[in-house]
Amino acid sequence: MSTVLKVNSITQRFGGLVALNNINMYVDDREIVGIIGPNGAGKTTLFNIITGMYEPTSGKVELAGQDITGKKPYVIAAMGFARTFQNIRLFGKMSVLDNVIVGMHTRTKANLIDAIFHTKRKYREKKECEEKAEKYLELLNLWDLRHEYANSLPYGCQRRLEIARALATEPKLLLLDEPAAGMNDRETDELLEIIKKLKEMGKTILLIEHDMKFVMNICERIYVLNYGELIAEGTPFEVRTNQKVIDAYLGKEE
Amino acid sequence: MSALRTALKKTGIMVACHINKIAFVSVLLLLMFPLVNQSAYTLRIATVAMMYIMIALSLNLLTGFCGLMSIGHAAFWGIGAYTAAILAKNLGWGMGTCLIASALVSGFFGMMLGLPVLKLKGYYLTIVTLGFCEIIRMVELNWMSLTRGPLGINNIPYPNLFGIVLKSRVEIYYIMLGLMVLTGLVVHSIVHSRIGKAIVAIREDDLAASAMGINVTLYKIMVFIISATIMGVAGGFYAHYIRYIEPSIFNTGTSMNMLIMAIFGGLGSIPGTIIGATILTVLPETIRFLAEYRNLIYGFLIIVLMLIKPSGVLGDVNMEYIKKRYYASKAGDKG
Ligand SMILES: Nc1ncnc2c1ncn2[C@@H]1O[C@H](COP(=O)(O)OP(=O)(O)OP(=O)(O)O)[C@@H](O)[C@H]1O
Ligand SMILES: [Mg+2]
Repeated sequence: MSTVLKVNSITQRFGGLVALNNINMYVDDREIVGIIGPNGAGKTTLFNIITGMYEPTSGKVELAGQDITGKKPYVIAAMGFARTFQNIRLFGKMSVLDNVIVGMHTRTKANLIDAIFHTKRKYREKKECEEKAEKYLELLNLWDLRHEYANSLPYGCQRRLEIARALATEPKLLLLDEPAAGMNDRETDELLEIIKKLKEMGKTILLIEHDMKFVMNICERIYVLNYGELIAEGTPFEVRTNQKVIDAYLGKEE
Repeated sequence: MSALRTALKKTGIMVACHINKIAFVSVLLLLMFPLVNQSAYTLRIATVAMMYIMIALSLNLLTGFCGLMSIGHAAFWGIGAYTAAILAKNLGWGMGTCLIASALVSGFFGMMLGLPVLKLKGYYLTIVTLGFCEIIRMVELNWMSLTRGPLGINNIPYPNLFGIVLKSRVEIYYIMLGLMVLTGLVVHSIVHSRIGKAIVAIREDDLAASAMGINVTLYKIMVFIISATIMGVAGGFYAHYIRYIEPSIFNTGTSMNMLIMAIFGGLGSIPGTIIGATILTVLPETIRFLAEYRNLIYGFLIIVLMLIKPSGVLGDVNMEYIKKRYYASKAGDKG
């Protein structure tokens, strides 16, 4: 099995604060891996480093064997990492469909000349994009809303739209930052079904989530962060029974 | 009240669905306009209004679609005007080549300004454009041998297209109409393309855009250059049309007025831009008889609109989406 993501001894300091300390992890092709940990543990920071939004103080990130540390986010996105954001960041004044089409930016080529002279390539790509985008929206149960403004959508739908947009980049690894945050039980169940479908489709996913039931249900392996330290890793069962994890995280009333 | 609202909504949908036809018919009407009315006064207003539409389109591409605000864009207009004036007067170039030169020179300045500044986030661009406008005006004022400083350049030759000298107001009107339609088509094509979607995505959230693989800096620079280029062409035309230019025309005050046109009509809306530039050019002319009260009314109009509709006349109105929603709902009714 090939490794899609490899994180080698990543350390991130913000002034005196050590947000991440010597973190090592990996994700193999077609795996669904979870990251859990209390608030402020450094989970989002790790995502920011993997996707190039922060440059780590030290350490290395590899994408399918290639060193991508310090590369720009748009380069990393084109190479195959796509993410969603904990605090939803959609293109609010664009339609749901257009949000997904923007996700296809790196998979399409029409340039300024194509735009101004309305070349065949432009029309062909436009048609292909729209068809593909509608497929993604069907998958995420958003098709009916495709012409609405993204910011007019209910919260749960916005979260799903972020996933659709990230999927549209055709990533090698999909990084989801708390996809179920703020969702009610019904919405969470719907999301769980969708992620199961993605798994069947052979997608590789790394997800951060606070909802224990959710993580235990879907992930094959789990990493546990606490105060920037990796305190445990393993199958849901191993993690659940790990004393350090119980002390740091599960023992507390969440 | 609600009856009025539904009627308004219905009209809106009709307009959105047929906007291309409306644009086409408007251009036809503009083509026929000089056949009906040849008064120097109206033709002048129409020509100037069309030039400001071109300028407002350039600013709307930058501010409305890409979210970058320039308060010194008159500098690019001036660079285009001086380029054309100098080439036409000193070297006897025809209008076509002059306009191309204006476009290139303005675009080049746009690139030189955009490259260092657009890498930075936030309000740097806005402040830098202000300074840029002042610097360019200073250069125009002090480079006596080239620009004749405060004296300005007078007796700029009449437009000369392929060896034919165009002196009549009607001919100049048609040149401007051509330039405006061309600008409209170019901006429309860009906005509705893959690149246009990337540009709007940058406006909405540049971090999310970069996470989608969009090279934010590159597109910002590209838009800035395109916008400067359009301003350059408008400037080149202006020099040929007005036949006398001097540095104070191209100051920050002018830049502000241009930006107000785009904001008044509605940022991110091409039809809005056209309406905004038209109203704010034609209205001050038609109420000229009110003398001092003219500026008062102009200011009042802007304040009132911003109070009742802060997004401008057609800001927040995306005709493409209205049309798609309408057709989708119709298809849904049948299916
Ligand atoms: N850009 C930054 N500058 C300074 N400190 C930061 C920055 N980003 C994150 N931090 C700090 O790093 C620590 C880890 O934050 P992070 O957002 O990664 O936590 P998290 O595990 O995602 O928490 P949550 O569950 O609340 O989302 C926090 O103490 C946070 O304040
Ligand atoms: Mg977080």
